[in-house]
Amino acid sequence: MPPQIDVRLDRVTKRFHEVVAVDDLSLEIQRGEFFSMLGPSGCGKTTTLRMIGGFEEPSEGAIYLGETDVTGLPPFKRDVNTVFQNYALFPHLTVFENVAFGLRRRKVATDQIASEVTAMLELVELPGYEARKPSQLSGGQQQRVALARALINHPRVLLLDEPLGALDLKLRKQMQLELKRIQTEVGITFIYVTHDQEEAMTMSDRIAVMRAGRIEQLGNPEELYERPTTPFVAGFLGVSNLLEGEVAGHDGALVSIRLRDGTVLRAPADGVAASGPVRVGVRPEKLRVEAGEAGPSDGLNALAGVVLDASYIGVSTQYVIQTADGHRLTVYAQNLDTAGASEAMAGGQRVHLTWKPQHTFVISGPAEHVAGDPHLPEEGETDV
Amino acid sequence: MSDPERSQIELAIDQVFRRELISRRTLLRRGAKGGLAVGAMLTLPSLLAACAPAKTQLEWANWPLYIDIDETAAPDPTKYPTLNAFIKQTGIKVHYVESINDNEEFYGTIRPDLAAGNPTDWDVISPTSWMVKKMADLGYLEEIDHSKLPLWTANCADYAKGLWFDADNKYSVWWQGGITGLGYDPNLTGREITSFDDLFDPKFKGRVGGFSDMRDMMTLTLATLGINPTTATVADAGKARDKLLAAAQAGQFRGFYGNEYYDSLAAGDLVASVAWSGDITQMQLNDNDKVQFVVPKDGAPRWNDNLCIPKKAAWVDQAHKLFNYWYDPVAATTLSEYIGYFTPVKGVSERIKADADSYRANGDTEDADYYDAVAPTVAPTADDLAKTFDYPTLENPADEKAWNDMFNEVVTAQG
Amino acid sequence: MPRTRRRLTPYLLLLPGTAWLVLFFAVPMGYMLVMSLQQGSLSEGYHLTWNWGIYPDIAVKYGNLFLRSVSFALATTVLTLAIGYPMAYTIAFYGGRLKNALLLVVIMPFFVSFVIRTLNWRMVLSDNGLVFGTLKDAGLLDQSFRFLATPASVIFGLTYNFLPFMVLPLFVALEKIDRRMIEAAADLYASRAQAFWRITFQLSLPGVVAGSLLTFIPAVGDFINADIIGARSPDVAMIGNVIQRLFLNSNDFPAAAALGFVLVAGTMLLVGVYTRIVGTDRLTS
Repeated sequence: MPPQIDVRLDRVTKRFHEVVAVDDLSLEIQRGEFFSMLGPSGCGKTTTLRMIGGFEEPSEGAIYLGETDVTGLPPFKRDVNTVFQNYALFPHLTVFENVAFGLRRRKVATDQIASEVTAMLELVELPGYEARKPSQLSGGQQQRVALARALINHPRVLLLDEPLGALDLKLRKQMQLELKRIQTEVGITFIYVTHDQEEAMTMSDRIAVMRAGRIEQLGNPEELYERPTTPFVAGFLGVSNLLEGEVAGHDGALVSIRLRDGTVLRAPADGVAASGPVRVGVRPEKLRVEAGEAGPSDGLNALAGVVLDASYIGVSTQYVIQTADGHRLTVYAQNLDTAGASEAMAGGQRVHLTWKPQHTFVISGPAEHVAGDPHLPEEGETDV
Repeated sequence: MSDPERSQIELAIDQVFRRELISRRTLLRRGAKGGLAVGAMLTLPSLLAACAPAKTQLEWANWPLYIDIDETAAPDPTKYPTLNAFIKQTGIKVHYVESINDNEEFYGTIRPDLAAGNPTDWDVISPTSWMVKKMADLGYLEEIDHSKLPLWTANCADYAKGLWFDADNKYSVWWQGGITGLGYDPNLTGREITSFDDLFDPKFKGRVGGFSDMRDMMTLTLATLGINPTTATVADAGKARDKLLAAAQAGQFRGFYGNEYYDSLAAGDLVASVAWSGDITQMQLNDNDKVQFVVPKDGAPRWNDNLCIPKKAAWVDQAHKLFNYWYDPVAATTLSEYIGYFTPVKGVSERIKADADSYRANGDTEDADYYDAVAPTVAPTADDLAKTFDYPTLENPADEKAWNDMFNEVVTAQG
Repeated sequence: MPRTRRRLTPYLLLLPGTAWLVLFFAVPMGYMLVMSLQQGSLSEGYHLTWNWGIYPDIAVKYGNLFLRSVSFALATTVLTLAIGYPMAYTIAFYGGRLKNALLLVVIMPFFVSFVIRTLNWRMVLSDNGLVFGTLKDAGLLDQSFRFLATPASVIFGLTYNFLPFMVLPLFVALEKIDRRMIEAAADLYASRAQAFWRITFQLSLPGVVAGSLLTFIPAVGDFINADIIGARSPDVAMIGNVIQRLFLNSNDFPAAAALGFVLVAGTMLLVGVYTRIVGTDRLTS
């Protein structure tokens, strides 16, 4: 059975005056999916979400919920609900009335409302809070009420706009798990907007990494992390080491890439061009660092270098290694064998790095110097 | 001077005008419409007097806008040319204070001293007729020595002496006076108005103006009932109240006005209204030449304010010199040309006319016309005098309260 | 000692406010009450005779005028709300960069004295003036039509003069509303009308309450509009006019003081009932 599409964006563009916030974006989100839109402030993620919710109208393109074109419909005629940044709870209404708000607007019978609200508050683990006002709740509790208020309507799609942004780290971790549990339990499609890559990775089935109004890369968390296709994605999802080189030749499932100093590295060949400049990437935790000159390679990629800096951080030691041709690589070495800071390798020590070709990713195209992401002002998006 | 309207509004308006629109004509008009001032100023001279070790000046309390002012010196209100001429002439310094807004209120401030046999803060005061009688009867006024007033003896008009409240002018001499009559636009009424009763014509319903002044309105009404207002009793007042109240409840009166009646009458919002004589002269000259003034045939209030010396005043002799000075026809003429009320001095009208002629001779027709129009209004005609009454005396405070209460019913149409 | 001082601090902080209230409210009210129980005349002096009978007296004499003042003030409050709410709403929600300029326009009339503004209306609205004269000349109005010196004209004047007192607190309350609140309502199936009524209006209630009080309280005691636009017509006399008259024309201080006392106390009572109904937390939330 082909996956059912819940939300479809067809070449959607949104302009605020002359600023393009969302640029010719197409997207399909499947039923029951936990879908995240990840990106820095101003990347267009919130605008996209608001267009799905009906709070903004696309300048061009169309939005479908299931088979229905909802492009011109106001929010209250769309089968979606939103959990707003900072929750937007109604301060003058009790928790009960906040949660019941959508049902009342749809003229659901009073006794049914009561039982549904009770059930929903149980789901978000706030039973007995019916009579409180939002101002009497903690941030985490308000977050749960906002969730309950949206979910009680059993929308086709739930939109969440940085819902955990205002919570402290510990609570955020806890709520991430809880959101995922609730999503699994109710089976509703979640579209989740965040600028926190770890949060997106923890919960999402698929993630769209956005930049400057476009989707930079779309895939499941593993794909994005292990095989980023752009330096932006590689950099946005954790630390990555990028080395400039040129394709030297294909060898079955692997491709050989020659660095400037002549070192040849191998990487999975998927989607890599037959020749031309590329960048080779590897995540810091995939690297093994050993003292001395490189030994036999037995199929591993290897690089020689010098320790520039070593910081012992308990669970691991973080090294900065400079290679012969001047690249600096970050390495996270698990402290499996070392017993403390004294046993870590000191600065100036000659070392060699090894890693599996399978852990290598290749980004096509010549190096461009991206100092940072151009920050587009995007109306309606506030990152707190 | 009539018991004037002294609402906060008029104070505010007055302040604005004083600052912005000062001109002889507006000032004259304003002066003709009754006095306004800030009551709080009352205590200032008394405080100063209490501190002063030796007396250096004559203290005179008068109503606001009741003396000529040097316009070029405005807004400084202490520049009184005619008064300054007296000071220069005699060397007697005069501290002129516009501190009387209301007879009773002012009397209330000096009564404790008078009752205790102490001097007040004043050497000269300017009470209205009935207040003169009240104070004289209580022995609160110094007697006037007419041998010191040769100009009064020579120049005082007959209508300005020997009146009911002080038959021998033992305690008072006239300052200024006037008549409260009727103003109307014949084009709007469609007929002649001769009596206060004409204002009750149902045809004019809602387009007739009354005054908010109790004494003016009750006097006009009592006269139509054939009752002498000056000597009317509380029971008489009740009859006047009934007549006015019935009309008020029927919506006959558009409103009970203070000075604002002038604008409404000039604009034609009112077809007829109770009015002050000098005002209508001004209206014909400046705002609406169709409006006529008439002294109602049944009778109208005639009022005057007087110069008196409160008991135990320090500068009695100097006060006499001041009184005498104001009966100098030259001083009186300047004053009348400026404030436009009835003057007590003979021949002022003729002198104003002469001034008009000299303006005309100099080619200043505007001023000539103006003075020509003012000249006949600064003295009452024999007919005016025949048809006018003094205000009710109301010597007893309880009577006065009863009259006030009755008139309050009229202006609120509650009864 | 420091502990004692700390415990006293809140009371010390209340002191200026309390002193202000005592000096400018409690003492004058007490003085008015005492004045109202005196008898006499201005020239002969007043003496305290505990004349409580004045209260039933003025109730009989001026009860209707109290009712009229309250109904004029109520009409004024309703009208300013009806006119001011759309104004404040438009400025707060759609004012954009012009917001401050528009607010300035709203309070612009305050740059001219209250009395002068009102006097100008009398000129504009006079029977044969700019507005009605023109309409009459055009044959659109009967020649006998008049607006000044009618209850409607006084309510018009009050509404005009107190409108900014309604608009400003409404604006402040509406401005504070988080737009996402309204989006959330729309998201939860509320139509625009429902979102307005259930959310925007409810959240603006502090402004409505504050605006109503700021309008009603001065309007009920106002006398200038009845004086100038109402031309002191007996049909429009409000309680403020009577107080003014009793104090300044009749010199009947006791009756004026009694009316003043009843006006202030009655207004407080009405305001108390009103805030009890709508809830005082509306003013502070």
